Amino acid sequence: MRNPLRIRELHLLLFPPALWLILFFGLPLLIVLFFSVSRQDVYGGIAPGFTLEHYRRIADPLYLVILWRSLVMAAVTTVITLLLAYPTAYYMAFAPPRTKLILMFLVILPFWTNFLVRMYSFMTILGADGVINTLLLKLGLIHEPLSLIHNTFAVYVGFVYGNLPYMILPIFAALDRMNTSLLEASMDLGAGPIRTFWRITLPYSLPGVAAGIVFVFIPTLGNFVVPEILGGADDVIIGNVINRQFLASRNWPFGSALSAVLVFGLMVFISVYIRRYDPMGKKQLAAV
Amino acid sequence: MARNNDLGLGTGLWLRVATWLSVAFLFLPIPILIIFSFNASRQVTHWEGFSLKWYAVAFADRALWTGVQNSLIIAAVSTLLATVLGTAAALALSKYTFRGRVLFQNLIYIPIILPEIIFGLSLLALFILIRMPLGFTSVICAHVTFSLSFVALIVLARLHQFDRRLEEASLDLGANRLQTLRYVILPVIAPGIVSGAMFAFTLSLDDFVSTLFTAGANSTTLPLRIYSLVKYGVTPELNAISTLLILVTLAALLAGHYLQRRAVSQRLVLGLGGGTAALVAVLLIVSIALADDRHTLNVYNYAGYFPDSILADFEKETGIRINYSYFNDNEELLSRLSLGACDYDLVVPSDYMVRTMIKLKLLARINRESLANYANLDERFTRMEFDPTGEYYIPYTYGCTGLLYNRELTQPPVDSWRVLWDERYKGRILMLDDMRECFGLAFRLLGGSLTDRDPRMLQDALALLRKQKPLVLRYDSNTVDSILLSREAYLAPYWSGGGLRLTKDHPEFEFAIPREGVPMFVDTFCIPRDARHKENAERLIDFMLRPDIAARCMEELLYPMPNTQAPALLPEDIHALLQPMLTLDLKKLQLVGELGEFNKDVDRAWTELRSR
Amino acid sequence: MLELINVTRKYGDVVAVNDVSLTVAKGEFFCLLGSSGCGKTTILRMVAGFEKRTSGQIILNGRDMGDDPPYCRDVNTVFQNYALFPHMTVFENVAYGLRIRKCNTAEIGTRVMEALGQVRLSGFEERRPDQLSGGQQQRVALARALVNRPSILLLDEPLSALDKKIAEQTRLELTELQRRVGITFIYVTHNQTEALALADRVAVMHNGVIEQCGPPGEIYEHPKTRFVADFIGSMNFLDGQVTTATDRGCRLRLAERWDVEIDKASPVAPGNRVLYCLRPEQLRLSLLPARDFENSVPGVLRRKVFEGDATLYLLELANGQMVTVSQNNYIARLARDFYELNQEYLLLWSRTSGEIIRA
Repeated sequence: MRNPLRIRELHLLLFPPALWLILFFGLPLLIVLFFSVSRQDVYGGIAPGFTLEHYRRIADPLYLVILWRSLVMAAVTTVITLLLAYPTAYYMAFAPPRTKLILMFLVILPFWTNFLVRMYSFMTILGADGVINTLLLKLGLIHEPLSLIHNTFAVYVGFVYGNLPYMILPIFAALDRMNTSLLEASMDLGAGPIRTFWRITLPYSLPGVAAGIVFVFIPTLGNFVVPEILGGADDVIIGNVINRQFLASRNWPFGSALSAVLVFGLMVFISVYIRRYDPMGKKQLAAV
Repeated sequence: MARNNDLGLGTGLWLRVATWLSVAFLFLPIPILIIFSFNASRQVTHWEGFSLKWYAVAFADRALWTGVQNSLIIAAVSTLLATVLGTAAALALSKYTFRGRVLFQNLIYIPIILPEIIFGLSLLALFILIRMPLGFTSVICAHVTFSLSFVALIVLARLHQFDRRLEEASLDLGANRLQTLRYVILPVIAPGIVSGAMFAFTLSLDDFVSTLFTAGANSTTLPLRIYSLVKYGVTPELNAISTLLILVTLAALLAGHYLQRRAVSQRLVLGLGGGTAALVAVLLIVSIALADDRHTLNVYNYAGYFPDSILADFEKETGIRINYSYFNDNEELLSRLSLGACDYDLVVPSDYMVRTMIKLKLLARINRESLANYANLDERFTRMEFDPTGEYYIPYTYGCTGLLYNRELTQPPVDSWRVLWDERYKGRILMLDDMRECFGLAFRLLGGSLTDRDPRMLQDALALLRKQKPLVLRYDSNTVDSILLSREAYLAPYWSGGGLRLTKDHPEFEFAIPREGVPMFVDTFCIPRDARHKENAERLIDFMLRPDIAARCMEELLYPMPNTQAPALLPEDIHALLQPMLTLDLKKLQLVGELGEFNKDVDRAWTELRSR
Repeated sequence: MLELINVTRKYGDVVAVNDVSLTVAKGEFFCLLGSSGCGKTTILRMVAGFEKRTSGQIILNGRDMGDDPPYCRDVNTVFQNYALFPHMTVFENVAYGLRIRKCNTAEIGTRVMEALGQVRLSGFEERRPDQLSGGQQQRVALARALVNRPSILLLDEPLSALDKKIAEQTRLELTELQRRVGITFIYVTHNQTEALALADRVAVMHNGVIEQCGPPGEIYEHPKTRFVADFIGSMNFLDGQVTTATDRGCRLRLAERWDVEIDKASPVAPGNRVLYCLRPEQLRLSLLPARDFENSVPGVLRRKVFEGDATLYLLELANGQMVTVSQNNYIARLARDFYELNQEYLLLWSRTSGEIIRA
């Protein structure tokens, strides 16, 4: 490292991205933090002066309830996604190469179409005059359209749908790397298929699962588009509230305070989580 | 890894079923989108025969193609930048240990896992603070930042497998570090760089949230356009667009697969990709440099609130190019405008918002003398209470919020707002997703007005609305027509233009003016203070005031315009439809004023209503 | 031509190379031999320039090149895993160094072809490394380094990834090639057979220092330290004490009970403890004393190991120590079952055999 040439090269490689990230990522977060302790002027702008008023406002049970509900929704989404994704990833990992390739393609393709279009398609499918209801009515199974859209159910469908590939791929990557000889060894040592799964396969895939959880849980927590498009009267989560503070309600400081709390909570979660599972392990990402 | 064994791993029937079900779930929407894109019916799921008309509509949608163009430019430039920066970051991380390495690593990781909304709004905060105009540059900055992280991680994964001895071998053979980078390291990690770049490109094309926050007057992207289409009702046009998108994606994937199959050298692929991106970037810079900026006009308005055909005629007549971007409500407009960084030339706020904007010194005086058609305006609308001088606005349309209902599914009489509290319509009532409308209505029923700013009445109003909430299907301002048409909801307060449109096409609907009275609004043309194309904006205003144009506008929007000459030019049926609106007694109607500090209390009450 | 003077390399507190000095002559085939972690590869990498010395001088052709980056040094390396560039053809791999030096195309063509011819790979120019066998890859790596005509060629365990037969054949070719091109080779290996077979001189390394440096025969016949004695070939060690010493030889008392006479000068004064080293093939097994083998010690045969060309006999001495004797089955014409287990025999050796080293 004492070699000046090497140091110059390092600087050449390091400074542009580092500067970029500091300028367009670190600094903005600090600005949000600064906004969150600034006074609000009547028209929603930032006025000079320090205040903790906005944080006091968050302590209002109203916002705590929304925060809690957002956490619950994100957690439930994560669990459902995991339950759907694991068998798929497992099957994919041990499928013959050709099937594996086809499945990969099928899992990734929807992921390549616009997110909003995918959400929109569920309006077509779940609506009162949508595909499912029309089908069921024509078959005479129901006489009244089912309420499939504009409720929490539809929001979960949207969340799970949007996030499924993000869960399947890391788990698949983890399982795909697994050497079958491990399983052979386990069975050789007398463990049945079920015990082999619990004792060998599952632990081996845990890093992938951990990565999948991060990739699903956190974006879901901040998502405001899906509740807006598919949700009902009371499907408001923290993302919607923050979004409204910045656009409709014009309360930047309060929106900033909410964001700051969310970011802080996530940082704590992530740092604990990463230390425990290393979900950002480079190998997971190799698959993406 | 050899996987030949007879242990029967992953062959269980239930596993196979679960997998194919998951894949089917992932896939389900795609054939449905494709099939219904060929549906002749306007209603999405009623099959009325094969037709390509929605493709025609999509191809004629100017805003859509501008969006595609903008998206491609933004994606190309941001991919190029993100790939270079991300690769550099990955190289620095993999090859060196240095102080602050962990910090740097976190700087790379965190953008990936941070909720995008926070990322978007914090960037917006930055741009406002440094007074950087929102537009291509700001969107590109946002896209580069999150793509950079993904590129860095993907390249890093590749570098992880990179044999350091190759580097040593190259140095040993006399290549210096730069030559080694160019001839050995980069070619070997090229597949990683290519997939990183492809990922960045897709991310950028697909990105909605951070674009929503950072886009400016002329940078509406494809996802933003799709969002406005999704929000303003489900039309088969979207199916057609989606089908086209899917086909393009598929073609790209197959082409990629083909190239790989043919073992076309990675250098070629890399060269092609990089070359294309560079070319687009150069084209962008040249086109920005060459574009005659004087002949543009940046309009910020509700989606579709200026009829497309009229804008097209205006462009044809004047040679001025219009950039059209959308907002959802007055507050969003104010937020954007007060940022002072958006480069809008013509905005369309409602009455109370005009007053706020005047107070905030956001508006420019309009040169009324330059408007040849100013004399056509109804004088009752030219100096209204929110701007008694009439210097800052030109009235565009006016209307009211009435009650839209399906006659076949409701029992008469439907002549009072009280019907929205009727238990019989539980789950069939749609309310506007607009706190001023909802609380305004509750205040009205309590015998007051929102403008009184009475905190006690606010509590009563909240109680009233909470009582109503179990009956409400959804709070929604944008897809009221399609939800009512699908018969998911039976009745809804709605703005007169949208309400009348539905009654015009579907006789089972009725638009009523309840006896408690209705809130009125006037939407206006305003010119932001720092508009760069003020004269062009005035030309468009004048154009819209021309009696023939105004008549076409009214026919299309079904909102009356305060134009004394236009009604006579309306077709008879439209005139009849608009008659009740044209003859509204303005004295009986009430404009809702601004709320000031009270706004915060109403916002809290609204959040409480919506979340519990 | 290459001289290392008091070269030291530390990683934090760990000393990988400790104050090493050595000289390699022009045209010499020099071998660094040692087990993994002994510092041999670190020396090689310091000469190549991949690692920096902590102190000392590395002088090539009279100039200290200790701080030059690898690309400024007139040395080339053949890597253990060959490090062939996977994205280039064989030709491009070999031409790499010349292209970097901006040689003209015609010259590159002739020199690359010549180098490929030298390693018998003509006709493989357009292959990619992953289409070659291990042995072929190894030869490409060799050609890629040789084509630059460096002053010194560094080879880092080049044969370790090959299977035994190919490795043996390549070994022969390597010596021949070196004679032909006349370039100095510095060859790092952990395989003593390779080192002894190939090198003009061998330096045995242990714990970052050179234990002994000399021609293979000398290293084998006259190890100077216990490590070298133990590391090269197999060796029996007998504890002893010098009783008397002259210029011509000395008397030792082994294991406090057997007196023997050795025609070797003692490295220490009488009264000091020494190790007496005997190779298994220097020992004979017998029921009776023999004239040519002046020294004898009794022992009980405990095990026999048949090795094809020879048989190993393990004897237990009276002090409990095990000694290994190797006898050639053909020359001795001994039936395999001639010696009986648990029978007492005499261990015989000549007074000219064995080495005495400090304890």
